[in-house]
Amino acid sequence: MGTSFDASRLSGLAALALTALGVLVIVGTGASDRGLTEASAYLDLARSATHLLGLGSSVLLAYYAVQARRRFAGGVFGESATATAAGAGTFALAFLVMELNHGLGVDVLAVLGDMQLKMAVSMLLFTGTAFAFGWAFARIAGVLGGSDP
Amino acid sequence: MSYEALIEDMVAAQADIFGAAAVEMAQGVEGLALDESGAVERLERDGVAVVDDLVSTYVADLGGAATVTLKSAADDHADRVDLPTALQ
Repeated sequence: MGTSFDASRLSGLAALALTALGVLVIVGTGASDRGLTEASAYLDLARSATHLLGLGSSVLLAYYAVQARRRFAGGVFGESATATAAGAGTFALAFLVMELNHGLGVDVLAVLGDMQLKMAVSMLLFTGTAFAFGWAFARIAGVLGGSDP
Repeated sequence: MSYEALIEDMVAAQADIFGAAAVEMAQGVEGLALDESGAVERLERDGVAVVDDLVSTYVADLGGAATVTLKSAADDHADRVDLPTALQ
């Protein structure tokens, strides 16, 4: 047999990863309301580090989810892995947008014009992530508990 | 009811969650021949021993959570065949 996936260990790692990513979101978005001129150099660096850490973690999570999807295609676990990969992808996109704006001054959402609309799009990305992760978990929990959602 | 039916239900339960990989894992169990759909073609050893090895294979590859669905699948067969300790 090739790569062995321990489902319970993988679930634990996923929970840890989600917790860590949640903290990153809080830290990353909590500082984003401050203007660059108000932020200290330390906070500026911390924001970039948070964005890049969030981006890297999301890409790594998406990579493992894609591997699991290939291994367990045709089953609920494969469907959940697909949703996890999609959620991690939108999460990575959100962090990429934030860091492009913060680190390089490239506002990829400029075409939207209105600040509220930009924030809404960002929140939509996070909402998509939360929905995808929640759906992935619910599918596995449902089939293990005997009641598919 | 037979060990063949029990094994097919166990493999089907795992395949619902893990897809074709569950059938591949079961095909590695000694004395058990399965086709690609998970149907038993031949059972060449004692049924209890094969079922026990099948449980061990799934637990080794997928973790202890695998026993949840395996026990559930075995419940319908408990009064017709002897089950290994891992499924009781």
